[in-house]
Amino acid sequence: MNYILVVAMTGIAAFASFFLKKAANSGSIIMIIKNYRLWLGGMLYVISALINIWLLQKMPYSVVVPLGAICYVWTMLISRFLLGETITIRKIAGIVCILAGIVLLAV
Amino acid sequence: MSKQSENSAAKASVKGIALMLICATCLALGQLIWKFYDVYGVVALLAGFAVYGFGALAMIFAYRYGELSVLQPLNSFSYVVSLALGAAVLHESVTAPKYAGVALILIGLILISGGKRS
Repeated sequence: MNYILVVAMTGIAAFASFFLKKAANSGSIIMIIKNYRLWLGGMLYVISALINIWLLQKMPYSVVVPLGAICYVWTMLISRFLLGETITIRKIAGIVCILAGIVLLAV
Repeated sequence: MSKQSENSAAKASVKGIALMLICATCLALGQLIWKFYDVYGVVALLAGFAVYGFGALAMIFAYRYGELSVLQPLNSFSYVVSLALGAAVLHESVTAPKYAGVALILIGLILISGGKRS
């Protein structure tokens, strides 16, 4: 159950940044503020943070934090399939390094 | 000429990367301030939120200047900053695995942000 929540937490956070990205590109500052995606993204971030806080009560910090980094994988997938961004070997290598580094930090 | 302007919609600009690094620093700084809740109470909570909010603004503006797949991972710079802040301010110990972890994260950040510029 907890691991379902981890997927939810990281997936929701990834979608949050997706909506924020869409909002950020929508034009002037006024247009950004008027864009529903800004507020949807913000709300999703809050929900993800709440799940994060809940999980920290249930699982060790040294487990929750590295699992949170899975969010970077979701973001990469979202950016490829929903934003049309190119996923290069370089980007994948970078994410792998970051994930490995985060795991080492939690050791 | 039009092909060139298509290519110039490249990975991310220096401005976007800089703004994301500022955001990541704010994440770490905000959490450090929250750590002092037991000393400063609500003031620490509010100050932390303010720093977080500033970081969020930086992130939203950063997203205007590059690809999500390049900019979003730059948030992991917060792990580097939090390690440094933890050592300097809270005197938390930095073990060998932590040095290695930070080094790997930095390498990863350089790899991700080192693509084409706009």
